[in-house]
Amino acid sequence: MKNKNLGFTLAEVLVSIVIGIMSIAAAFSAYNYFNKSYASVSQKAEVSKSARDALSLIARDLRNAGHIDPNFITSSWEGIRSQTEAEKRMIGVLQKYYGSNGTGGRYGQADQLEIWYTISPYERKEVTYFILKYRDGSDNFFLQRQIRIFGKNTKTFNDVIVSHVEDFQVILKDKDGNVLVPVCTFIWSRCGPTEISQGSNQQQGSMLKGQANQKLVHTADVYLTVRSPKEIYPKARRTKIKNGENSHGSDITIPADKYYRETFFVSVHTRNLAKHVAISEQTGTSIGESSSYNK
Amino acid sequence: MDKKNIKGISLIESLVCIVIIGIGFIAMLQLSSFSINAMDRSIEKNKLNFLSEMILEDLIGDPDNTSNYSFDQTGCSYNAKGGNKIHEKKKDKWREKLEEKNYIKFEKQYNFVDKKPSCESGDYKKTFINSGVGKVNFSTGKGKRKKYLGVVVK
Repeated sequence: MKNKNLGFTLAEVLVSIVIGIMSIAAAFSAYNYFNKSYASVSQKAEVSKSARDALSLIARDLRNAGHIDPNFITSSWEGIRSQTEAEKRMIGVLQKYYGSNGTGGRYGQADQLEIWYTISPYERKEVTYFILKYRDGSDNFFLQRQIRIFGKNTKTFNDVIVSHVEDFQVILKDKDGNVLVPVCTFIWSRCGPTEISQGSNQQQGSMLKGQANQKLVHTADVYLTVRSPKEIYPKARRTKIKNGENSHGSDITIPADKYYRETFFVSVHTRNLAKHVAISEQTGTSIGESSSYNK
Repeated sequence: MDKKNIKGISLIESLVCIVIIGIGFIAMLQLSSFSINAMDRSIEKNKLNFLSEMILEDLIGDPDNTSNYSFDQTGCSYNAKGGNKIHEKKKDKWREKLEEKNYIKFEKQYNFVDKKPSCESGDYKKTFINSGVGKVNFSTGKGKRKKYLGVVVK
């Protein structure tokens, strides 16, 4: 019975304690690392999902922009009885200005987009996208989608489509790929000071310049910058956001913080505005080289 | 009483046990790492969806000129080619947007650097135009993951 009470030696116990501590430390640091990574990726996924959903909605509205039902002129509950009157309200962008509704986002540089299209021979839908500040005292902004349906009775709906929005820019371009300004409806003062300084209220045929430009819109580039709800990065750093073409887009420098930011972009061909004419009717081969649009 | 029955576990046995548990633990960590990477890749794929839609929208917007929209961007370095024609401008726009040029810049030491999308050598973005049909082919992950999108332009 000599070996009965042998147990571990001191050296064995010490070695096992060291190995045990090392394993626990490794497990703890790995858990910590993956927990942080998971939190960071879930924040990114949340930002990505909400921005993508919002851009899908915007893209769908832009594809419909300016659609006028063939029977709308005669059946309109809005009282519109001419094509010219209907074409005065199709699409508009208010650059960096919201009138009394807001401040152009956190950095005062965001745009407002309005889109009109018929949804039946009697009714027209106006969809407006703009940034507003939450009224809960936080410093967070959201992108609002306001829908008004002009029919027998006007109906209004408001939806928050994405939170923690940092910037929203809409750049409209003509068939040659050049930035097109001003584009606004001038109905209910829907042209801001920037558009007026660009000559939106100058008469151009039967319309004002801002209204006449609506039919020249061929492409809409939309930039949406969204911030993560929670801080992600371990160190604070300054960030710059530059969306859109120089002088027509935004140029924002954000003080150092730990938030994750992502800009999402979508480019949409506005099919109902600058309409394509079949090749047999046109003179050239490319829309950039011929006048096949809106002949 | 048998001598061996009261001996307990030897140091070697306990080390072997720790190694086995360690292997299991590493496998679990790799699984978790894989799922986090998969989420990241899904975000990147989502972005590529919208970028491929941008290309298809541009093709739809210039249906008589689609043959000029052939595009082959292999690798991760994008340089504007210039030109005044619409297809040249559009292709430069694609290069810029695929690189996410200027969208967001981070401060690094005393300069601001572009936040770039993930791109590895072997990745490419191509378009194929044939008989009024436009196709976009994006390849990511060193050419391992391929994505095709097509549209009848005309």
